[in-house]
Amino acid sequence: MKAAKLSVETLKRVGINVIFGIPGLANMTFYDALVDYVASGDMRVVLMRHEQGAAHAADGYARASGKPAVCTGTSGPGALNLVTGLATAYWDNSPVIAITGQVTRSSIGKLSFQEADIPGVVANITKFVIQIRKAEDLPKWIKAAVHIATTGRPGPVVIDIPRDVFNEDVDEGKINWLDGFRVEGYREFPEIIDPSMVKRAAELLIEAERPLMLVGAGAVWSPAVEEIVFLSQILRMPIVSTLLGKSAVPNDYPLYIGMMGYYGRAEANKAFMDSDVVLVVGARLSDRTIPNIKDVLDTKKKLVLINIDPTDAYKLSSYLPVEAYIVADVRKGLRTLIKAIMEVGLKKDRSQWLRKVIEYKEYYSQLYYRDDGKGLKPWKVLKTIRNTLPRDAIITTGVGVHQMWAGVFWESYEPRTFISSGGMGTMGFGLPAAIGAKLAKPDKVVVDLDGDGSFIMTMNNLGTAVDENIPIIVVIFDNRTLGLVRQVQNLFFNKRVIAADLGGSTDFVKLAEGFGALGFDAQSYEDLEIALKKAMKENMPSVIRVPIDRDEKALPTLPPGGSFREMIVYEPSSNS
Amino acid sequence: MSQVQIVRVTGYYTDAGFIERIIANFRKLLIDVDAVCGRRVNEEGLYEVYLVVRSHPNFYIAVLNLSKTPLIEKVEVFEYPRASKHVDDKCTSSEKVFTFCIAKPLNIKEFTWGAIHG
Repeated sequence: MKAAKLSVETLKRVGINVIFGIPGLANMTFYDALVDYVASGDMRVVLMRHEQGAAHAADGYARASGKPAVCTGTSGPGALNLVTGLATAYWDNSPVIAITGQVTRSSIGKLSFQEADIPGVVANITKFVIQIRKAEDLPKWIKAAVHIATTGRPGPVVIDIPRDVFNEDVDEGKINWLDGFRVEGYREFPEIIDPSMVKRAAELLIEAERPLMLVGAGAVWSPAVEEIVFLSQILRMPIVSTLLGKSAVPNDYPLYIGMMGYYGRAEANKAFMDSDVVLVVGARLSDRTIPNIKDVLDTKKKLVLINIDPTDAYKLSSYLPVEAYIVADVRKGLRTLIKAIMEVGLKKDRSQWLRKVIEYKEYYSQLYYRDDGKGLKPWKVLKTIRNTLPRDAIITTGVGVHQMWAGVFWESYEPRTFISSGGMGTMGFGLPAAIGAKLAKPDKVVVDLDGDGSFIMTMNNLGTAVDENIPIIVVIFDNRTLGLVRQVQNLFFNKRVIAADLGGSTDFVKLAEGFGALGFDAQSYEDLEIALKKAMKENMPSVIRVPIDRDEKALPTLPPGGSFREMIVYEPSSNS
Repeated sequence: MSQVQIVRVTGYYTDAGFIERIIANFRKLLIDVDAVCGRRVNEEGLYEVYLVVRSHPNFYIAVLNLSKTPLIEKVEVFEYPRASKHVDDKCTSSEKVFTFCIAKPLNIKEFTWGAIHG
């Protein structure tokens, strides 16, 4: 059997059935082997328009499905173009597997045509990389890649395969499919469920005057909706989330306050500041969630952690007041904690705390939901989209001011229905991620909430959506500027706006039509609703352009490095 | 001489990127490496690498990150009663450049995939 076929056969055996990528000389034999698998229906090959899009599409597929997803590029520029997407997947713990073509073994290291040292390039932006030297090792490392990518803290893995390895013949009788194999030097994290820690955690939460639960992406990956809601109910404990943890709990659950953090909802940040015990569930407490650790230290709050990664517990304990932790998958950790709390069985009256949180919600709502009738308001645009889409629709986002509006105003109701680039903040993520998500969940409506600046970065992949009949909908919040850049320059650089405004020349409707997609120009909320309904009915790729004033800001926000005490909730001078 | 920490990393070699990954864990956290010495331990590809790294506030994070790096079996931090210099300048060898002797530690703390011993 040719090694290229061995690669594809192994991928099939580990459950992969979609590959996003672009062929070139170094991965041509791999693609050649795919021909038969595509013909038999065992594999689907999606031709993206740029490898960055391939990595994001695989990422979107993985996040929507919870399963590993594969992208591929040829050697040199093809593989290098994957890099941003791989880093994005690494920062957000997404199990993407990249198969990169490489020049022949005899050419490696000699500045050969389309050669790049991919293992060197990706080593620090992926969970693992291996360069294959012998064809018979392919099954082992493909299986290892899936295992490493999906276990513990998930993350991307790269398999770099020289062109001549793909071309090698492997004796079929000697192929070791490695059922039950072990990767030397790789282990899943141990569970650390120390009964005294569990008891301490239960006591802290039971005795807390103002407990709060913070849910992160780990709670989405698990998922643990029932456990989160149940614990919140029995302890009368409000919930806040990180950006990536938004879909861990139905956002219309009455005790869900919203996303906290740098661009988080004011009431969520206020609740965090006021809380005395915070149960952190599947979140690593990045600088985006807690921009200034003084907000934790000065308020003398106590933290209880549930996290699958013990090193997170140790690291956070070294500089934050972590009183107890449970190292386990979120669902198991929560069940353990719930059992311990039920055994103690104490219910504290927290009506005052809940009342305060509700008051915060009501107070800040007056500041958010303003409409002076001049132009379309982001919150109202999102409300219109939410009211038009089915409850289980999947949202992806680009990165920028629209993403922050989505973080604050979008309501997710089911796990894996809010997909965004959190840690890396990669502009251009939304469209290709939507393509991946739609392939993972073809029965769901998938909408990319994007900005004009972000969409433009990977919009070439709209051609893929059209040609491959992947009916995603893109809603562009078109403010003709790099909104967050402009906002930071306005607020913190003395209004010295530079290199932010995009100009008015790009026609997104014509652009969509040029790619063969449907294009809509929504000048009102009614237009938007009609366009969404038509896009869903026609079931074909669609782009809906929504004009937004370029001075609409992503609020609340903080000064760079600022504290939640310095939140800027609204602009008194603004009309909005 | 700056205060240093001595670390022994045990892991499975696949290619020389194994060494780069170890070093990068310190580099990414702004920790300087004074010396590196390593060798193959067995025929299964198990290697041990000793590093002398400068003491740094990020040291603990680097060790924890390294201890959960694929192919790394364990990371051991040698602990000494005093934080003086641990590299023995008196070590006599004709190939001193490639050999360094370290004082016997009081204790060895081992980090492996989230488990800590010692």
